[in-house]
Amino acid sequence: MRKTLGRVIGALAVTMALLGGPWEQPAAAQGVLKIARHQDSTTLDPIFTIQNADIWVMNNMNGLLVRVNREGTDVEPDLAERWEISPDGTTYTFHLREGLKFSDGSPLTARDAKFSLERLRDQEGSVMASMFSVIKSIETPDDGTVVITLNQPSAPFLASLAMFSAAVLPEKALAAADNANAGETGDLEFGNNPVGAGAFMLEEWRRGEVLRLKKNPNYWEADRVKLDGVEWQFIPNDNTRVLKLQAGEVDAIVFIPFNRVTELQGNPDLQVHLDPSSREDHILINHDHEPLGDVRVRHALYHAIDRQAIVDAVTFGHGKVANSFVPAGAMFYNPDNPDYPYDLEKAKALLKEAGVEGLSLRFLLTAGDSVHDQIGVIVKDQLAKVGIDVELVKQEEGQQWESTVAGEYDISVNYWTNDIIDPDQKATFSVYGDDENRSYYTGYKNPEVAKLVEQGRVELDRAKREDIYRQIQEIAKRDAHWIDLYYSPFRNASRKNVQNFYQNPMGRFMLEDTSLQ
Amino acid sequence: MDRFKFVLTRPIQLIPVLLGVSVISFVLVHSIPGDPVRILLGTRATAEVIAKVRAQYGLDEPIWVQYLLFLKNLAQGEFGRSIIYKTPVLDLVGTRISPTVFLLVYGVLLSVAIALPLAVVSAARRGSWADHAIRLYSTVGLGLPTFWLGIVLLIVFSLRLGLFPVSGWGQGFLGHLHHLFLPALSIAIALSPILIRNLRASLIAEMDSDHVIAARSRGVPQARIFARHVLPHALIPTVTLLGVNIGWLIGGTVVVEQVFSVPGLGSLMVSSIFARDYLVIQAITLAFAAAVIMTNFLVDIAIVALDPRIAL
Amino acid sequence: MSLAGLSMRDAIRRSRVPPALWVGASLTLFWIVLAIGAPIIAPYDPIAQDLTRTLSGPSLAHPLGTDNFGRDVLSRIIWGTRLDLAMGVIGVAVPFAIGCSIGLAAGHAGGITDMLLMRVLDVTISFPFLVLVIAIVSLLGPGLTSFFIAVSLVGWVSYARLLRSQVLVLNHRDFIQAARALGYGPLRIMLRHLLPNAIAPAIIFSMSDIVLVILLGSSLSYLGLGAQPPAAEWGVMIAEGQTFMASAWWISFFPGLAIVGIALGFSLLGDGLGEWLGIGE
Repeated sequence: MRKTLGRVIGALAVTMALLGGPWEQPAAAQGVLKIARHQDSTTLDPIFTIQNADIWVMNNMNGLLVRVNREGTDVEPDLAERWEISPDGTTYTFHLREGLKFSDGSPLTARDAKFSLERLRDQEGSVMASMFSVIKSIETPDDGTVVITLNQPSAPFLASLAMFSAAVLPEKALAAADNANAGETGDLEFGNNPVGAGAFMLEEWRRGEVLRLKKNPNYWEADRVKLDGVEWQFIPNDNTRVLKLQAGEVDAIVFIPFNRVTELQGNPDLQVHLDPSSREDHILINHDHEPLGDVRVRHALYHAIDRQAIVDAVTFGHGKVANSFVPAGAMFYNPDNPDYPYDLEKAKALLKEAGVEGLSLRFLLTAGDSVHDQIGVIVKDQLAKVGIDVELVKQEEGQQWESTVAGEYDISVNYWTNDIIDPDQKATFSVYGDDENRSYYTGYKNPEVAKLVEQGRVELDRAKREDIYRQIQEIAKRDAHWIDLYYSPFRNASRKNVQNFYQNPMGRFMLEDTSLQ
Repeated sequence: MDRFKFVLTRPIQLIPVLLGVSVISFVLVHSIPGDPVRILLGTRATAEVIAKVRAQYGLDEPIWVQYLLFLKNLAQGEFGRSIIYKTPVLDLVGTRISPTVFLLVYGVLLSVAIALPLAVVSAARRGSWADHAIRLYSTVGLGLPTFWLGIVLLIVFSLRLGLFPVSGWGQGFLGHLHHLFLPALSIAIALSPILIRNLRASLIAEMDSDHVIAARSRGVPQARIFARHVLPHALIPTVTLLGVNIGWLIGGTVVVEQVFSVPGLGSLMVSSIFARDYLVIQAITLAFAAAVIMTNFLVDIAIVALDPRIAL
Repeated sequence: MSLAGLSMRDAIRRSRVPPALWVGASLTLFWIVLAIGAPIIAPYDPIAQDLTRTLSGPSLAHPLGTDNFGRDVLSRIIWGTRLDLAMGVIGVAVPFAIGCSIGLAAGHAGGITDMLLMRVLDVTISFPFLVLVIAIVSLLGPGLTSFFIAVSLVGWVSYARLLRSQVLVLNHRDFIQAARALGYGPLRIMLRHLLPNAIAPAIIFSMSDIVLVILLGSSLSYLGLGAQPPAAEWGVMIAEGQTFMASAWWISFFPGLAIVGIALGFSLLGDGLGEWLGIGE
């Protein structure tokens, strides 16, 4: 009997190999864009996550009062068609569009906006709560008006409202979910069954496999959306993702390895999208570990590292050496920021001046990340030339973060992509030096910079702000608070028939405009 | 009779072994540096938020308290919630278990489909060129790395010939059969040599045994001897071998799932360990351990069924 | 696995050397020579990058081509022999020693000791290996040390089982009973009487175990948990070359063949030994 079974299966296998395609069910409806990505979403409740994989999906599912424009340079109207800011900069009045609806068809009113923002500020476990603690109160004089009063003027506030966390969600659904789960794990249900006011709505989510969105007919800009749906497939293996695109099983893939860019550009069926990003890669320096607290030693590191060589090797020429912690092209970026040329003699002289000899550094890297491997090997090689011994310490990502937060490193590779267009968030995290973040766990603190960051936050005059942030960039660079490595583009690829597949510098995919031909 | 008793006591042994496995994996996984909440919320979240979320999941309790809580929940059939996916662990594991089971069964069936005829031919025509070729295959195949084979199969059959999908697991039974063919074949090519070697040896031993020679001298037809006496007896050690190898096979499946991006338990386990999603790891570890024990139990039953001497 | 109690010396005296043993031994020797002589035999430095000749196909200068860093694939494979061979041999030697001791002790002592050891064995067998490896790798950092520890924690099981079953049979044999009657100590009985008569199947199994351990090690390196780049390890090479499989197949293809080749050597060696000593699979 077993033998017969074996024969049947053998025959089946052969038949299948011969038939191939016909076994497949017909492809999904026309106009569904299939995108393969390297991470899976974790939740679709915007206040409980900061994972890119969640943010990318939610950007196309939720409506905001104001949103970032396509170029990533300014905010533009979204659910609010216009707004006024009081002269003292503490009162924001938003006027919602007429007839807004959520994806479930229920009306969207000012009360929903109020509830969503208060929840973002107050809910236990809300990740970005601290950025919204500046909100004093929210009033809703009528269904179409939201009045937000701040504790103090806040220049980056409007930009913060354009962040994924500030999505306007239905009060009814949230309150129901919150009540159902009142207790230990808080409100987690909404993240599995979200309702929003964006271009698409959730159709199906099979964790670890696929997240399907369909067009939201109630979206206020529904006429603009050309796709019937979007399918985010989770394909962790870089190679498999590329193969799937080549075989035409998906329409687009995100995050292609730099070393594949040129090859894929040569494929006539495909197009490679290198869209400008706000990503900046850098090497953190732990100022608390002597002698790294000595600015001369940090300068020596800068001079001893040939950053152009790193950019060439790592990004295959698709990146650009960074001269500031603010991304090139971003708001208030200083193109004339001072920089440190590759100069071994100067590095040696500086080390000597600082009386440093036989320095040995622990270089913290993410294990299994080939870019980190490369940077590690190159930096080790280069610093050896000025007599600095580098020990490469590879830790798994989760562990590396723990070590970074705990300050258990000498130098470490890290990167930052902007959440908001305003430089305040990154400046606060990276150079302000508060007790919580200690300038991204480097321990860098310069009272002059701290004062400027505080000024920049409340200064409402754009020209004056620009001047303040240019100063911040210059001083931080002079202090060599960390080593700016490179700016690199987002790197995605799609089939030729995909039109307008574009990721803005904040990482938002502009799928409202994407179409299939 | 003794044998039956042994078979029946097997499920009872399940409990202490699973307890042992759960304690070890709990302690082991919790001792890995790295905090799941930090991994989830990244370096931008404040210490206050991290502490609050940790408290929500009871991660601020001492480890033995967490373990007892886990046991208490388990006794009520609750596996807790995934920290990363924020959904009940049981739901999560439930949706991911089907591709893995499908792949395992598919792989084993394909291996048997390859091994059975080859071993029979090889044993029946000892010394022939076919025998030599099959023995060569079973020796070379033993050393084939599944992940490498998987990549080669992908390039040839998916990319060049376009016969099979590159990854995923498809929809509907036929879709699964089609999508998982190459992964299953990778498993089968790795597993079948072991089965062939074993089955060939026991077939030969069986064919030379006294009762088979006796039957042949009584004039019983060859085919009947083979089907009634030789094959059933020769299958016993092979089935045992299959059972013993189930743990190894599950490990191999994890690798194959990675190569072909199959959304199964293996890839969930890998990502959960990297994310320190403690309760998910705990559930998968227990599921795998239970699978190993249950398979061995089923193998014992199969042996009883295959051997009339024991069945009587 | 029958013929327990048959001394190895008897068996060796009785039969002639089968061809599988010859071929297997020569192949294995070939890989050992390659490993030891790597610095002399390999034409290039295995980790020296030459960005001017990346991804070039097999040629006279580079018989197996170069990879994406311009490193010579042949030289990397030759140097890789060291790592993979060490992986197999150390990854089997330690579990072999541990497993044989435990199996011997359990089989000889019997009773509660035996029962306890068997429960430990049950737990070990049921424990998913990958959880163990990843946990250990995360604790100690990725690399071969973690791999060896993980393999040792798990690999002993098969040897313990083999030795124990042999000893259980031997326990009833006259010469063991006699040794007990003579009042020999347990250590003497175990080492002088039981071990020589029980170890042959374990030795034979260790040959195919080397194959399994090499496969396992390279799989883990492929998953990024074993040897770390830029090390010239075959699994690492396959993983690194995987991205270029469609355009530069030689980077991944040849290391795969090397694994098959080394596995073939040890498999034949094991088969041959088994045949020679009259012990089947």
